[in-house]
Formats: sequence, structure tokens, C-alpha cells
Amino acid sequence: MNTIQSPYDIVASHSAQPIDINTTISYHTTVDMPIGKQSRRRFLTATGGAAALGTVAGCLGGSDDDTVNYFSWGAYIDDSWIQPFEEDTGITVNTETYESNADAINQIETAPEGTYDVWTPSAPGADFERAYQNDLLEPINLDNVPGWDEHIFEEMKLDDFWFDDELYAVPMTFGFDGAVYNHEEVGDLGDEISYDVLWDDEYAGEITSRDDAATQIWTAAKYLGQDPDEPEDLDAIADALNEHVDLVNTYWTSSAESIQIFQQGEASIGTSWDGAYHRLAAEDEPVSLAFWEEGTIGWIDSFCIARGSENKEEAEQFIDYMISEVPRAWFEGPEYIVVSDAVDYTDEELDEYNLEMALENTEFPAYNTDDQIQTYDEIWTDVTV
Amino acid sequence: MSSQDDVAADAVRPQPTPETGTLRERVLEWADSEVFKGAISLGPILLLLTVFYAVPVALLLVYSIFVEDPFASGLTFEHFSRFVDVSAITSLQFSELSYVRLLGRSIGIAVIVTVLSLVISYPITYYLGQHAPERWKIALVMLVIIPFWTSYLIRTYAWIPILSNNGFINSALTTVGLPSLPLLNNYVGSIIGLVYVFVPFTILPLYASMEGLDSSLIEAARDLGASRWEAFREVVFPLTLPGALAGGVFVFIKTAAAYVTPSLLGGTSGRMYAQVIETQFGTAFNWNFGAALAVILVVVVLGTIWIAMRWGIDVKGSRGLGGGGL
Repeated sequence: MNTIQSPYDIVASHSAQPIDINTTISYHTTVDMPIGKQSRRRFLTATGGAAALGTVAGCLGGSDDDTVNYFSWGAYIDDSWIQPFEEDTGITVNTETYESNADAINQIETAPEGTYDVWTPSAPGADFERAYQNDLLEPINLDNVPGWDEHIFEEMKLDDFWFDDELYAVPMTFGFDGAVYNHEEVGDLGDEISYDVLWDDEYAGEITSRDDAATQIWTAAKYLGQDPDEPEDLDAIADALNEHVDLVNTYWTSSAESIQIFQQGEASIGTSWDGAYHRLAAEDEPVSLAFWEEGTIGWIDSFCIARGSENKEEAEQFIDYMISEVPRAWFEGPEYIVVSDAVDYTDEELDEYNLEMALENTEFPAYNTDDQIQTYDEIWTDVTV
Repeated sequence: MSSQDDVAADAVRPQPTPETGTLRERVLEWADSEVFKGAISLGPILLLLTVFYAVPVALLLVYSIFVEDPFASGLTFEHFSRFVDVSAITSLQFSELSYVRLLGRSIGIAVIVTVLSLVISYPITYYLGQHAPERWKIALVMLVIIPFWTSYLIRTYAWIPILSNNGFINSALTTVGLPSLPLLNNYVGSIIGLVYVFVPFTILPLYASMEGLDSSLIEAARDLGASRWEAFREVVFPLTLPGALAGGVFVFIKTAAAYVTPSLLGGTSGRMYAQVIETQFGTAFNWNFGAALAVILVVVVLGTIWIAMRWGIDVKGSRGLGGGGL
């Protein structure tokens, strides 16, 4: 059913539980105790105490044993690629999920140092820059990540991953904020569309786009022919967004939401992530994917090492494994493009994912300062209220 | 009261003087004292409320008046003045006051949802409290409670295939040749979703009031020539007002700060205030402004309720039922 599909993301990200070593600890502590009526209280106390200790140890990283604390989006956590790593190396991978880059940044900032080793923000981008400037990242030693040279697509080795000659991010998955349309409703528009359609009366009430201030201002600047990273006329952009909002059916905030908007017939054209398109197409929805003529916003989720990591080498080992050993399984899981040639894409897949064109046609918006974020946020709030 | 009994018991019991009392006696006496008993019984809940309620709310206040990190940066009122842009007011550009407009819309939606919830609850609870057969009452009240067994999120999602363009309602309408209605992704969707979720919260307190309502009063009013409407207006409504107010205030507070329902069903025109607070903490990384917005919401909601309660008491007064409170 359509509706069950939509909340999938939320459910999935919650269902990925941290690997629980605590139960094992508490079992061993209590197994020798006589199980009589009188000892029940002691049993419970001991179990509770051990479980609590185990939890604390787990939270602090448990650096005595070989562990990696992996903090990521729900879609990137699955036993099918984590378990083989644990079996091969004897390193335990503790996992925890987050739901947005901001969520991850807030958690890493407030948790004790060493709580997380590997995390996967969208990088390059504003949140990655913020993480670097707030000192939430450790440099990555490429000597421990041979997969960087052997497997990562050259197009994806961006200068933005480096600060002061040190590498802070290894790209893993890639996608873009493309044009998605219902070809039964609007006809075949080809695989390159102008942003003009988002301002076209013909599609009034059938348009959807992303509920994100920075994205909207970037898009409107492209539409008006301004520099999207340094827009010179914000009043004109605000006016354009005010016209756009009148034509929009609704804005989306997550991949799941944009899928549901197309499935429920609320919108027939608009922006969406390519991942959402692939999920819609897999369910035989009559949708097509295109790039934006003026420039399509791309995103890369990258492996980073969190500030204060006490398992840096294990973390690098894990990153190398993820880009060298298991990309195939991993690509088949969340179905995002994994930017490693170890995936060994088939011709059909290259065709379906339009890989070459995707790598050529995407741009990565520049970092916005706090003042810019505030200004953009005010414009966007004013437009949508 | 038990405290009086304790005082009486203390008077009878021989009081050890501080000089003669052994340590054991003094400890026992202390353990028996009102202060100690009070601390034991009230302490945990006070601690809980302090740690999990008072401190976070205080932190919100603290964040709202600092430029950035509390105590590490200067004090400011810029976050509040960003909400009420004085230059926009003096230049009469009221449309520029986007945060005020948004708050106004949220309060408006909250009022509509509260009124609709009460309108729906009155006939249901009147039947439940006055006419339903005794043996069915429990089962009927259970029907009101059962939806709580499912997650709020799932129940809200369930409205999407009902309200959407391809949904049940619009499919039915187009099948019989009627134009489809935009019910999802606008404020209509928000209101439907919120009323659905919050109706039980007005039904339960109102049911308690209705059950306690003496049906002979209604009969007397009818005997004395009141129409059904007059009997409701003069007898049922004033006597159940406490239940209605309790439920209404609760629904109003929850709705004014609603986040999940407008995010899923409200689209752009149904956008509500809490969503902008979330943006400040999430994507905009401006905790201080977000905290200021939250403080403003709390103040405005409490202020609205204060005014409404005063107005509510006046309503009772004008019916000649004030003072006694019944």
C-alpha cells in the first residue's frame, strides 16, 4: 500500500538499533547466582547495575576493545554490510542513527568527546563547513584508506573535502535535486528542463519543491540569472519566490514526503531527489527524471571522523572497507549511487542512473554564513507565511 | 486531615528534651517530623519537575536573551525585536511582520480546532452522560480511548490517503461527477487532522461534567416552558462549562503549538508556528531566536487562556450562576 511506503524512512531509521553488548554483560554477571526467591532482588539489582555500567561504557566508546562508533542516516546502517566487517576484523561496530545533518551536528556538539567515531554528513555543503568550523572533525589519514586511490570516482574527489592540506571527508553516496514529473499528466518534457516550469501558470497547483530556504534562494537565483552563491538582488528573489508559492501545491522536506506527494496526485511536476524518483519508478508510478538546464543541486554524503575519536585507526579501516569491499551490497540497499568503482555497475544500471550525465550536470552550493542563513530564513519565512 | 491527628498524637506522646534524648530518639523524632515527611513525599516529584521541567524552561528563557552562547556572549533583546519588527509597525507595513502573522494564524487555527472539538463533543457526551444505557457506557467510552492505542504519527498519516487528490473522498466525488476538493496540504488538512486527534481530549472532561449533570434540572426547565435550545443554553451549557473549559484549554494549548499534523497535512497555507521554531533549532542553527520564539508562544498562549478564562467566568456571571461555581 502506498501509505505504508511513505513513512518507511521514519520507521527504518528507528528500527536500526545500536548493537547491544549490554545484555551479554549483565547475563554473565548474574549467571552464577542462586535463583531463589530471596535472591531475586539481588539478581535484579545486579542485572540493572551491570546493564547501567554497560550502557555507560557503551556511551563512552568502550575504547578498551576494538570498536567503532558509527553514527549515520538509518539507510546507511544494515547488518548486511556491517556484520562481515565485524567478523573479518573482530572490531565491534556500535551504531546510532540521526535524521538530519543539523541533528547530527547538535548531537556531536553536546555529547562527550569520543562518543562517535565515524559519521556521515552531507559534504561538501553548509553543514560540513559548519562541522569543520565548530571543530567537530578529525583529519583522515589516507595511508589507512587505500580505497581512496583505488576506487573513488575522480569526479567526486572535490577540493572542498580539504582544509589546510588535510582531508576531512571521503565521499560515499551521491545524488541530486532533479526535476521529477508525471509524464501522464504533463507529457514528455525530455531529460533537461528549465527552472521556468516552476514559475509556469500552466502547472498552477501541481508543483512541489523543497522546503528549504537555502535551496529555494539558490533555485530562484538560477531562474533569474543571478549568481546563486552570491545573489545580488534579494528583493527580486523574494518577489520570484512569492510568485512561485502561489503555484505550489505543497513543499516537501524529506524523500518520503516527496514520494507521497507524487503518489497521491498532489503534484505532477517539481523538484525531488533522484532517490525518490527511483523509488517511485520502482512502484510503476508514471514519473520521469530530468536535470535542470540552469544547474542541478547535487549532494554527497561523506564519511567523516568525529572530533575526539578514540578509535581513529579502526574508523579509517571501517571507511576503507565501506568504499572498497561492500559498495555493491550497499548500492543495492538504499539504492543511492555509491561513488566507488568497486560497485561494478552494469550497463543497464549506468543507463538507469544516468551516471555520466549526473556527474557532469550537478553543482554544489557554496557555504552560507550565519548572516546569510538568517537573511535567507527571513525571506523564506515571509514567503511561506 | 491526618496532619491534625499527628499533632494530637504529638501532644499526647512524652516529648524528650534535647538534653536527655539519645541519638536514636532524636533520629526517630526527626523521621516523624512533618518537615521530613513532607520532604519524602513531595521531594521526588519536586526534583522531577525541577530537573525535567523548570530547568529546561529556564534554559529557554536564558537562551532567548543572549546573543549566542549563554553567559559567554552579551545580553540582547534583538531576538524579540526580530519577532516584532518595530520599523515595520511604524511604517505601517504590517504585511512584513511575518512571524506575528504566523503566530496569529496558529492561534486562529487553535481557536477553530478548539471550537470544532467542543461542538463535536457536546452531542456525543450529552448522549453518553444522559441517555446511553448504563451497560453500554463503558464500551462507548472505550471507543473514544481506543485510538490512543495507535501512534499519533500513524493516525495522522492515515489521513493522507483519505484527503489527497487521489484519495477516498475525492475519488468518490469525481466518480459521481462532482469537482474534487483541495483537502490536503492546506489549512483545511491541518484543521481536520488536529480536530480528529484532539476531540477525545474534550470528550473525556465534558463527559465527566455531563454524567454529573442532574437530568431533573433539564426536565424542570422543559416543564417551565423552555425550548430544547433554551434548556441547553440556560441549563446544560452553564453546568458543563467547567468540563468544556478544561478540555478546551488543553486542546487550545496543544493545538497552538502543533507540529506533526501541520507538517504532514498542512502544506504551505497550513504552516504553523512550531514549524518555524523547529527550523531555527535545526536548519538555521539559531537556538537563541528559536528560544525567543518559543518564549513568545508560551506567553501568548497563557495570555490568551487567561483572557478566555476571565471571559468564561463572566459568561457564568451573566447567567446568574457565578460565585457559587456549582
